[in-house]
Amino acid sequence: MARKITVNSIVVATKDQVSADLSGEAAILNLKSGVYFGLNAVGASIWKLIQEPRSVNEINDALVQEYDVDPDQCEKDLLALLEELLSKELIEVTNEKGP
Amino acid sequence: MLYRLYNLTVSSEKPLPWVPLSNGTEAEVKIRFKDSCRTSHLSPEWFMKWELPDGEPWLNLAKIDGGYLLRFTEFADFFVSDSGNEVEFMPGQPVPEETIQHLLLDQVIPLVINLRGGEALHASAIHTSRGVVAFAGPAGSGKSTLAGSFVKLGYPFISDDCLRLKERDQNIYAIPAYPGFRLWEDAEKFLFGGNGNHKSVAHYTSKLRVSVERKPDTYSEEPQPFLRLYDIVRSPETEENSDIVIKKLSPRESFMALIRSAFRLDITDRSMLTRQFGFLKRVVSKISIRQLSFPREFKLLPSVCGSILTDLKD
Repeated sequence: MARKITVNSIVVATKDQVSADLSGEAAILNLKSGVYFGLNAVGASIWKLIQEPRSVNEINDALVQEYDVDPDQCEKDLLALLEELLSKELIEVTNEKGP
Repeated sequence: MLYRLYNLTVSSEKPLPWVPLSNGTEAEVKIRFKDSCRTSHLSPEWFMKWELPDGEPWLNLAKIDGGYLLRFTEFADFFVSDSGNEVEFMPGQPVPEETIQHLLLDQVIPLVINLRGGEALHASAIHTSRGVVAFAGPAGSGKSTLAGSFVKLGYPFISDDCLRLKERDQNIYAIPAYPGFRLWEDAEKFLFGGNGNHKSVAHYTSKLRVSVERKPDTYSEEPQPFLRLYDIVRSPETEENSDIVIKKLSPRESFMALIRSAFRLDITDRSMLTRQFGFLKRVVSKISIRQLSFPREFKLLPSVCGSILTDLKD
């Protein structure tokens, strides 16, 4: 069964990839599958953050501070992107118990 | 006989009538032709299966002892050695000579370039006074027809369907392929009058081979600075649009356009994937890439060329 990402999940970029910073945007290559993935500026910011293990909450807080965005909408979009990155095996997810 | 093909010195047991002879003394790639297929009994684990737009199988790729097996499902096997120094053609059934030449020049050698550490794009290109301009896009998007339109206007030809790129002194150069390109009959008739002198590309297509004279003002023999890539898009929206639209792509969009059009022999080879990824990143930092859509009407091709020439000034 697919792992569900929640706000308490810890996410980190997998080691099996290379990525490129393209003037604030990004492209990623999954070396295991040979699949490429492009990220816009916001996605690239998230990608930078998850080079180290971080909780989804932590990432969301950082994005809300950086961009003028509604926190709930930001969380929804962030979870959607992380699910997509997970489906392409570009991130690893650890689920921890919430507070 | 030695030939100069995509700037490689190539020896071939059979004449390659479309390819210029080389002054080189040693072949970098040796091409051999067999009468029978020593690999037809093999059913290796294919790591890649390419299909035609209609879903028909086209080309399967597998790693076998000493190299790669490229099986054009209906026609032939090609063996390419690990080093990319040797290519062997083996017919799966009687194959017309023009088909063998096409598979070799336009399908196999671009993958051999990649195997040998080079990079090539699925693109057609011409030379302008500002640099080389290339056209990428899916099959049938009009890459060759657009390049042919520029050739008709007097711009020197660089390559059709495979543009080899090389980095030198931190600049990106476009490498001439060989002086000939391929057009559908209607496009050839519109552009060059359908004079009937053109040969068939292969037995399974009605495309025609159009040769280009080997003169400096018609065919660029030497590598030239790469200036711009136009990624041709076709969709229901662009089909309805009667305008010629050129849109500057973001670095990410540019990179993904390059990735889509890059030749890759072995998608399981991590060092190749990493090398190509790094190369294309450097290309994006130096080359401007645009998205191009235009109405599918031959009579508008001069206007499309005009719009591109205007855009090149930007």
